[in-house]
Amino acid sequence: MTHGRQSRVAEWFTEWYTPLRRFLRRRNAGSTADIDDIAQEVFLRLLRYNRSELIDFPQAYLYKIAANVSAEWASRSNRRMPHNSAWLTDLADTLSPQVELERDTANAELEHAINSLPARRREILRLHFGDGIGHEDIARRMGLTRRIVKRDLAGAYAALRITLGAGATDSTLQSSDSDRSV
Amino acid sequence: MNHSTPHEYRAKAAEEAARWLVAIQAEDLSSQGRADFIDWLRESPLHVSEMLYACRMYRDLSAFPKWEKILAVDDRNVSRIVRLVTRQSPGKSDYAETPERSKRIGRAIGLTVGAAAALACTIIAVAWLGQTTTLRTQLGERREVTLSDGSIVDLAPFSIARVRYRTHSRSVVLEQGQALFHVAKNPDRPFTVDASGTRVRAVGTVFDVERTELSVSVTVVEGRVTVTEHPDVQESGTESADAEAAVSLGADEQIVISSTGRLNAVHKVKGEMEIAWTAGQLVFDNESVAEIARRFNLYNRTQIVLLDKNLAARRISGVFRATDPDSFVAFVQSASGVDVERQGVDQIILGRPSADAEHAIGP
Repeated sequence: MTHGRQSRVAEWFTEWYTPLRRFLRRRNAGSTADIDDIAQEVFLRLLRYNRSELIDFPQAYLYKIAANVSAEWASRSNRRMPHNSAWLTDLADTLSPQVELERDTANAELEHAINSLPARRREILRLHFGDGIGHEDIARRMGLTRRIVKRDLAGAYAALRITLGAGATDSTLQSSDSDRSV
Repeated sequence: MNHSTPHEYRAKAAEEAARWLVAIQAEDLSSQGRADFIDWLRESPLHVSEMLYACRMYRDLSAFPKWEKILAVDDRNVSRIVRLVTRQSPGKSDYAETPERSKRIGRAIGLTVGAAAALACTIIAVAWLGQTTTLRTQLGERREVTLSDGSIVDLAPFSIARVRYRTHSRSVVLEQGQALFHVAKNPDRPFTVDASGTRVRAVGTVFDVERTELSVSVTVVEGRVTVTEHPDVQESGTESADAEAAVSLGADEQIVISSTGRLNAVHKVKGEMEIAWTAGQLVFDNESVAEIARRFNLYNRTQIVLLDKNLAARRISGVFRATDPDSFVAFVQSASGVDVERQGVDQIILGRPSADAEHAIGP
């Protein structure tokens, strides 16, 4: 049931990140808080829990806390801008050509990044995400051990993260937000 | 300013997050593995951040619509690969990452991912040099402030902290009340907190400082700090090198400094319990009712007034919601059978008025 598991992480992410993204768009993306800020708050909340409590379902806690933080931020921003009704934003979010363009650009970048991975990692990604095949079956199909499949996947994620996140140009470095700096 | 270090930290965190993501996906985390995962997350906000980024990566890959455009490596597709890679030198067997390509991708992704990734660096790089900012909370108000370097100050009710950042120092003067400091790591820029002659020095840790009329207490939740006495420091946050006595404090350790500047012995505490206030909880371990009432009065508009001296001196332990003084009053009433009287909405009076002056406890 790899597919079920797969979509769970993906769905979860979309669920908590969507309100946050809406909030960011309204406040001009790039100049405000993002995942790093959410992470700061999530981190602090994680510290407040008992370790023994967290150990049973660590990822569930992580997701839940992130979802809460994100929702709180989004609702805080809603109060500040009462004229933006939720459904209007929803509509704008799914239909606007800007969003579609962004999505297309993001997918094009992702395609580039995936194609610049070593061949075997690329193939494992394709089988896993494109065809929905689990680690075990990928290993069998490609004649690899399960450990190598997992190592390659982790390597691919890290490489993609670094390739796609390397856009720390001078202009973004300067766009600090006075709101959050003291 | 050195940019490479945060980037290196981030790259390492990204790799670790990727490995955790795979392990979670495979659902083969043992209870030890889950414990390690939690410990890893609680080591640094950067770890949490990279974990969230990893999840986003996963989402994006799951939603990626064009897997047929991803080059395959089956034998029958070799010709296709060759055709598509003609601009690469023939000697290369693989799609080795070219610096130009990743740079271009990096630039193009700019607003969406790049800005977020740059944020940590922005926070570290940008300092509001020389400026002093005053953070202040009212009764019943708690406030969490992210400083320009990513450090976080969680201010308890009725507290005042002055923050001043310089090129090689980050200084906070706690003028009143209590605060939890989550310090972003930067060995070149020590973080100091001064409270009535006591100085706490940290590089990257989580610690709590509480200042009352009678004492200053310092509690470390994570990492290590140095506590020194500077009787001559006029709370200006100025550096004065001559430390009288220095005490090093590790995780789950607390020291109380009396107003005379005497450093009491370091003792063990549960750090998480000591900072329960940041989660809206008040935890008391063998504290006097007077002290507990004082705490509740900080967090609430409704004030508890104690008229019974014996009751005030009684010691109790328990966990209460900071915003629910009634639960505490009910607890005390059931335990001691003391009289409870409400005056208006803002006052709860415990005990009977006696001949002596009222023993009112305020903030």
